[in-house]
Amino acid sequence: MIARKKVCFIVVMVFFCLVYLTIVGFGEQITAEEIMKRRDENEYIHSAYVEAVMIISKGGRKVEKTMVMYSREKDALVEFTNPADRGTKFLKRGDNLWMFFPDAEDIVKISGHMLEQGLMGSDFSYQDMMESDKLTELYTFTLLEEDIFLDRPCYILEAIALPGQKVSYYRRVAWIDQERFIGLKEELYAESGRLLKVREVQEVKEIEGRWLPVKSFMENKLRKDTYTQFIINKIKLNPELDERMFSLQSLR
Amino acid sequence: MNKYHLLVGFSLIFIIVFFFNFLALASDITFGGQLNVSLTGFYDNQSGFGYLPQANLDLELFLPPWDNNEIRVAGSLYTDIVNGQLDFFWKRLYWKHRFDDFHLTIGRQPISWSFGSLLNPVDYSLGAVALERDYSTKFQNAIEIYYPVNWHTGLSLVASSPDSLENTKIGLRGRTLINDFDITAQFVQEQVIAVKPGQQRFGITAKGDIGKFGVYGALGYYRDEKKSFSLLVGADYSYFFPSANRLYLQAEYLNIPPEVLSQITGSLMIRQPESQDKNVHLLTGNISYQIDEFSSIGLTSLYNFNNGSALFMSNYTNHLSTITTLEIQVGIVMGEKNEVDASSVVSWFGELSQVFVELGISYAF
Repeated sequence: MIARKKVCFIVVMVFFCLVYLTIVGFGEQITAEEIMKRRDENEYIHSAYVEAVMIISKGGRKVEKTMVMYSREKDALVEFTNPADRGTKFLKRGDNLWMFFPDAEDIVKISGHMLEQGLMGSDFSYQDMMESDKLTELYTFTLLEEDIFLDRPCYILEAIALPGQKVSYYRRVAWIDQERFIGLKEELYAESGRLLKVREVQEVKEIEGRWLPVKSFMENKLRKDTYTQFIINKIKLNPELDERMFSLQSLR
Repeated sequence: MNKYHLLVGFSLIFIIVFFFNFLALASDITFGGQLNVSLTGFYDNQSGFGYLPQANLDLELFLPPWDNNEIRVAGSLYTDIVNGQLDFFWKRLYWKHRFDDFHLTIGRQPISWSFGSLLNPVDYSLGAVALERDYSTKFQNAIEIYYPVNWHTGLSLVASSPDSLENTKIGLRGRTLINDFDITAQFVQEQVIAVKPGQQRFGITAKGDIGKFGVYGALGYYRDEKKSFSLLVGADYSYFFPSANRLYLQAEYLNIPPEVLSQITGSLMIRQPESQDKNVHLLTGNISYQIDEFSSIGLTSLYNFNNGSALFMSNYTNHLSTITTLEIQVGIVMGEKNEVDASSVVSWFGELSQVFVELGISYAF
């Protein structure tokens, strides 16, 4: 009788353990798409006002450029405020880019191939700097492994561009914070497999309920000893932006 | 007091009134500018070797905008290469008000209708911007009304007096975006109130992309004592080396009446008298190579198919720090005797006849 009770007890315990492990196990098996969806929910910025400084470094030399930026989805307006570039403005509307030359007070449309180039000589391209993409709309994802990065447990995901999507980088490998769902590190690859750039976050802040990178750097792996640091001094999410903000008249 | 003085006086009163209203916000007013110092060495066929030190100080008072108003005050102190003395000219002294439907700008202001070409045959002031260099002729006493239609379409109406009332000119420019091509149409009437009105210029420009290439073009029609046309076609392209260093290439072909080209480049490249009635065929190119984040080298060239004369101008730029930039330029003009007008080069590049080397440093603050 006692033996039967013991067996029943063990069976019941095993059953509950299995149920528990199943529930916990399913909970942990978050998919790559779900991780990136949560990352997009956290990091994707619909519109923002940003005051920032960009520090371009090579060897021991550094050049600083300060700027204010207004952005809304794929549109952005950037104005440089440091003395050497004061008044230089860029307007990006979709894939079109215009530049305002402050001395001549002249607006010129910039050729499309310039979008892939470094913004004002930095390691951030115009697209890196002036776009906030929902990566889930552009890539397919695979969860590679889990790791600790900057003392934070992270998911490591691989993103491959969806066929037909126009993207700056064909493949990305991203370290996503498991708790805050913010990208802490990203390796950016060409379709040939060559590593082009590495972006690392140095400081994050909780802003209006979301974790956002406020200090990061981009390292150009094709060049030696060169990187650009991007520091956000002030950011306001979803500000009221005049409809005319992203127009040629706002460059004038 | 003639009408010209009345116009200038009226504009200045406006600016002064708003300027003094503005002093209440004096705590937000800041100064800025740039100091440029250069030494040019040159070789002249007639006078031999020589050198010329030059300096200019650009100063601007930055006033905070208020109630859709903006005042810009900027001037340049420079060494006059003709008499060797310091001189000053206003670059900006204007008031701009952004009305709900249009922008009004009154006073001394830059007026430039560049669209990305190296030479612009349909600019508001021909030669104001050429080969990526800006010239003081773009700064004019003017009234501009800008009427935006939508985010990419607008209309500008300009009336300006470059020096005297007799030389008052007007311009009208429309701009829009069609299939991602930036399209402009413009008209300029020189010396509009003179007894004998000056040249009329009609122009159309387009700039966009075909594949990986940036492409652009312009058509100009000029009407004064005779009627003539110009045609410009150009393209640009970026090539990335495996080291990520960028090579930028730009080339354009220009078919232009000699008297129009002379307004853009002086009489450089069009010296031969027998070619005065024929359009000049000009090939212009620009190559720049980005050495690293801070430095680049470039070569700009012009070649005149009509007489075989050519200009080559190379430059090296290095951003020594956030505020200091070093620039070295070497220019060579080549052509048979009498095909190249040395005196024109003096006005175009400073003090040079056949070869020049310029070393310059700029400091921004």
